[in-house]
Amino acid sequence: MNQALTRREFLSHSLAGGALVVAAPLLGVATGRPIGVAHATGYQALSLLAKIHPDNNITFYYPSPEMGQGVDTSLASLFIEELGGDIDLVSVEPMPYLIERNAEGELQAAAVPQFAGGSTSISRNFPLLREAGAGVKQLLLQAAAEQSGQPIKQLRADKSYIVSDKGDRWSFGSLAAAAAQQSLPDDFKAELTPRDKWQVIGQHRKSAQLEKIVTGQPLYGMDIDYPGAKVALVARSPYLDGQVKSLDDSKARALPGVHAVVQLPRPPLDKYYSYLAAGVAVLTDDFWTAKKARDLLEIEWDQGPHSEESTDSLDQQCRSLLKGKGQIVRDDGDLGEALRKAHKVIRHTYQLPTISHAQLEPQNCIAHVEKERCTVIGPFQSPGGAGRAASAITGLDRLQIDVRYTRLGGGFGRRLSSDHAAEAVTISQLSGMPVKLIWTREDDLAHDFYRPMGHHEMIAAVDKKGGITGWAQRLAGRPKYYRRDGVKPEELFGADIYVDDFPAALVKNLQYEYMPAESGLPQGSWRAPAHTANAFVVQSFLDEIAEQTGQDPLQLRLDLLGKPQQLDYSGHGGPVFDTGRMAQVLKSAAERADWGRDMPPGHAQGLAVHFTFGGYCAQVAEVERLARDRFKVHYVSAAIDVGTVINPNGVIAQVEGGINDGLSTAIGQQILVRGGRVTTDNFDTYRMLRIADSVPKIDVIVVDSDAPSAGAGEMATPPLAPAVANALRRAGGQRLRAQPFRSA
Amino acid sequence: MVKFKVNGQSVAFDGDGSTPLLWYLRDNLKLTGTKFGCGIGSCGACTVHLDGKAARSCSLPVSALAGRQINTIESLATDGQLSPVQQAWIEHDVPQCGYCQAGQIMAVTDFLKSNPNPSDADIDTKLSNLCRCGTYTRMRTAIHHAAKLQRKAGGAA
Repeated sequence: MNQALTRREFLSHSLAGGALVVAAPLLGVATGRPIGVAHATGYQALSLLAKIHPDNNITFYYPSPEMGQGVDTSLASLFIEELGGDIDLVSVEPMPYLIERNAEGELQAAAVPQFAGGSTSISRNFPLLREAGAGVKQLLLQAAAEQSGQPIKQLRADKSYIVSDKGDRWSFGSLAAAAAQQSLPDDFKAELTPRDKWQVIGQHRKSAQLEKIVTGQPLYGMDIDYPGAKVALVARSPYLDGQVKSLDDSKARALPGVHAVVQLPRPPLDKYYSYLAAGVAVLTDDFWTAKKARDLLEIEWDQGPHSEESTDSLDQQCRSLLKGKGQIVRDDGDLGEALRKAHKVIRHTYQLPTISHAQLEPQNCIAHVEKERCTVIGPFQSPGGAGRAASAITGLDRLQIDVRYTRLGGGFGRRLSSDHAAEAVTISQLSGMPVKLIWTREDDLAHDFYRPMGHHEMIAAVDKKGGITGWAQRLAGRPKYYRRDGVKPEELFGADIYVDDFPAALVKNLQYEYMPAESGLPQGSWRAPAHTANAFVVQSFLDEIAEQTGQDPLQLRLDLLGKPQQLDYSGHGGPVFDTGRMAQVLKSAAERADWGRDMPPGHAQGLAVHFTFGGYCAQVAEVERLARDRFKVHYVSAAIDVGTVINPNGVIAQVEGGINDGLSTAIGQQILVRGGRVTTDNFDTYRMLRIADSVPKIDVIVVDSDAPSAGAGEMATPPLAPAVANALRRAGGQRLRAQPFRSA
Repeated sequence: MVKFKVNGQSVAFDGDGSTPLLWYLRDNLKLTGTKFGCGIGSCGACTVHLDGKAARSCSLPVSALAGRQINTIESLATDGQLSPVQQAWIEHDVPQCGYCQAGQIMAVTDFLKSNPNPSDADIDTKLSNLCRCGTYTRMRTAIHHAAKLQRKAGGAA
């Protein structure tokens, strides 16, 4: 990977307005070339990476969309570390989205990937941005050497100055013009700063855009004004896969300020979704007019193929499926034999509900379809996905689509899908007007790519000493991959059971079994996708085994992990699952919480651990049982190992937020369906955590590690629910095997 | 015609009086710091000050505002000086996605006027704005810090 980045083409730079403008070339994606391999045909377009201004300030253009995970801050640190820049002089802006087509007609995307999902922004950018920083430093050093006549070996970069052994100092800004005239030597090879000399990476940094946020600056898609854009609201089919049977829009059209009413046909049922639902869009001058106009639409709905579906029917379907046989997706040893020979067989079933992303900024998107081009602006986790959607709808070439991403008022996987872009582009195309599509909260909860529900039957064979000799996880649930392009029926399990997940390879006789359920609910990625479900069932079940065999939950897990070893892990976050790193976070979290200490009556500790996307997180929750099904989580100690840490403060923030998110989900969230429509409509019925129920004290231990950096956005959510359920049981409460924990 | 004040400026609205203040601020005045989250006064992302008291502007019709004073997040810093709550939010690096935070800050600013030295129980019973990112743990620390800053500055003004 590094070879290509030593080429002089890596950095193109120019002088604009007295600033040194740093840009990175585009790299082939259509051909599947690994990121970082330069393309032989050269570059016509360049991704804007940074500007060094004459006043010595630096603008860094962060390549991955920012949704609260802190990449605008951590990615800047990577570049600035190797540049030798002063991080306090840096402001950040989103990198303009850019692709081009090479001489062979292949699409090329930015060298630095413009995508936020799967906790990958850090790992993909780690080498690229550092080498870019080193390249720019070299240009500044060359400029200073040429100007001063001093040998380059006697110069070094220090906090946005080039300093010489003689004691001269030149600001980066004063060298910007001269550096723009320099080029990197053909044989230039970036020498990256060794870890023990890092000054920026590994330091606590606050969020780069804090002041803009606390003063209410317009940062989000919802805040963007586009010239001439009409506000569009859509009355979507409340019935899953329903469509418009008849429409009377005369009253809506009669309302002053209504410019158009257009119908969105139902997306094909045998393909992956473009937008989510059939509907009728009203285009108006402002939101309130749109809301009133939408309420005036008289629509009769064809209730579609799922009108009998309900939450109860889906649960019933899963119960029936579990009585039959499914697809065995992992089969180690001889589970049947292990169960026959077992001293004890333990068997329990757990339930996870359908949940919604409920990112606080409702879906929105600006689209303007013109004859030869199309503009799409919005909160996208995948700007490329928005561009593909716009291209597919308009028939325009990808290069005619101008995609701009804003800060996201939350992502959580919701905006990995680009249905909001597809819907806005469709409305603009049908109406011939630029549009600003806004969803209401009711729209957002009723139309989502939900986290799949599922029923998990867990079976363990245990020997006389309490050792686990057999393990089965049988999942009947709604596949996330339902309706995905190119996914064969036998591959449907792949996003719901990760075949190498703990405790695979640690229990000799082990089976994972999958039974897909039918439903009209669209499914998608929800922060740490199926890990939120699997960690809950696996970690709860381990505690049930511990309880029934009289073992300490911590010791049982450590025994199961055994001596440190690296196991193959084929899923996302692989290729290795390190049992030693998992044991270490368990021990660290337990030690910080003083695991096993005496607790007041009604209080107890519970623990859980999980491996997700290359990171390890263990948590000990201290919980107090209150009346009925109420409880209070007083404290959580969490240990996280995400490899090399760029910004410890950012990791800690993600763990704290992930813990409260996990608690929020476990306590109260559930999307309900009745008569083929989602009946949960706003935050009054979709109950999310408020400060009163949040965890007042969280200790986060960031385990220092030389392992590759893994990002931290998703690891802390999965362990929380089982840690709390385990604590409640140890406090003398009922074993909670179904989320949400609190009845409505 | 309804006349009232927004951030000290006199405004007059002669449109549909049922228009929620939130959308008047965002669509007419282009003051987008006040956010749309739920539209039913549940999440508090739209919190502004109505005659100095926290109010959820998504559920406040403009027709009810005659002669009232509205203040939004855009007016909280005075002469470039951030308010104690804003300073505390920066000190403790509270926001993640940040979308709810203007509303949180407006709610906490009012809360501290009547609770200059709040307990955790005061916070739990009197603050209910939703933060989807779960920044509550830092928020609690920042609220106590802001209270301290205000007391230092001489009262809860």
